[in-house]
Amino acid sequence: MFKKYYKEANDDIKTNRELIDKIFEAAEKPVKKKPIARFYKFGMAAAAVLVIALSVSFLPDMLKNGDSKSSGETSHLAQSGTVNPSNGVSVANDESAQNLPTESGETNVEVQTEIKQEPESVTEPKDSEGHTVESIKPEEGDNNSSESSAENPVLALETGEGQEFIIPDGRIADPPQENQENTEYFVAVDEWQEVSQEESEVVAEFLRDKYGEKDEKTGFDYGFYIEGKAEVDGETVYFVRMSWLVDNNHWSLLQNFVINESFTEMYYSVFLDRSQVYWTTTQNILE
Amino acid sequence: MSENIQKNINKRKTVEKYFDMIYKLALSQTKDRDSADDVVQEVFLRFLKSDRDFESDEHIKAWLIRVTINCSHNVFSNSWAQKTTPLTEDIVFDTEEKGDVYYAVLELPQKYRAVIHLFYYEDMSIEEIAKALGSNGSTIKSQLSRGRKMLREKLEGGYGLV
Repeated sequence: MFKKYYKEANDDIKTNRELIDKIFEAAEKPVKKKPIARFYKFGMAAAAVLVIALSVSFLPDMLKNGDSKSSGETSHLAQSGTVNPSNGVSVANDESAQNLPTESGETNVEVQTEIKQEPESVTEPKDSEGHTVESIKPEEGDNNSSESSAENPVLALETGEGQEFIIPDGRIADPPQENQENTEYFVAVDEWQEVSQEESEVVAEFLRDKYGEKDEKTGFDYGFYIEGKAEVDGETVYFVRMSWLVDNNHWSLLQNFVINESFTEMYYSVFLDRSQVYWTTTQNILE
Repeated sequence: MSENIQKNINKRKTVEKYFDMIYKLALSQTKDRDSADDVVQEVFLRFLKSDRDFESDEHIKAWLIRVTINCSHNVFSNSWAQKTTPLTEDIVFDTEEKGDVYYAVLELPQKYRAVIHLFYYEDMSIEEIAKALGSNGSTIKSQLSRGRKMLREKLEGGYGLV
């Protein structure tokens, strides 16, 4: 009887078959060409460039502050800890807090970092469930990383004169300019405000326009989840989690972003200790 | 007729064929007509834009079901939706029994709703449900059993449930 009633109840539900026409119309609309075909890779590489660039720029300050470690070891300085420049407190290592960039302008901050001899992943962002997104490892003892990076899809960095930032497909990205405004932000997750469905849809629509519906190579669908929002410098910013649907059976995190309400600025963001989100304005993805 | 045109015609026929099934599954998951509309559009848009080569009709059906469940989860992963999505009560049935049974299913947790709906409405076997949801048979069996138990409690044993 249950089955009979349940079937009849469902059969009684009228479907809106006009939707079918709308779906076909929507499917026939031309898809905007994606500005970045392999976004996730580019995004992670760009984030890694940012991390390494800031770490390198912070290096002289660390050395100036009496750090007695050799220069060969200092390439790993940023791997073990970071400093919150707002309060000078060293952030303990954890899965999401490690490897974060530090602000070069703070010269009197005492840095307590542990030097690790063995090269480890430079960035290993994780989502709120702790899933690893992607790891990018530096070339070990490599003084000619521009060549090796062209062969190996790994982020490479040359330091010193003529510094170049090379992203995985061999292109050379501009390093952050010294005079470029670079502000760091920390927003506690419990300070986030809820986002209405309408707002979410607007933001997600913008991001879908920008990145497309799915990854061209794998065919995995992209998903944009607007996790929350906050007032920052008098403007509303949205915290976005970009994932993709792997093999149509689970969502996997690609990158976290923060984007402003006017859709003119967007930055990669990371979670610190899963309690606050951090980003820096060094590289506006929308420019 | 070019291969592409034939492919598009076949896709359109598939949308027509599975539209009701997907809509009702989406409604059972989202409990809200507007959200169900959104999910249905999303699912079929993905299908129409997909370059995937499906092996069979059953493969298409399983794919559509899985994407529907995933899209419905996305609706609920929105914290706003979790707090504000009401239980649909604008669906009126001509008999009390139908309403009792339908709304009892909607009150189940989402994962049990999907299994109950596919088993009782779509007449899918446990193996077919497992395949469609990317799960294993024992998990589906267990979810079906728990869902039935909850339904018995909600319906106070009425309607000769399973």
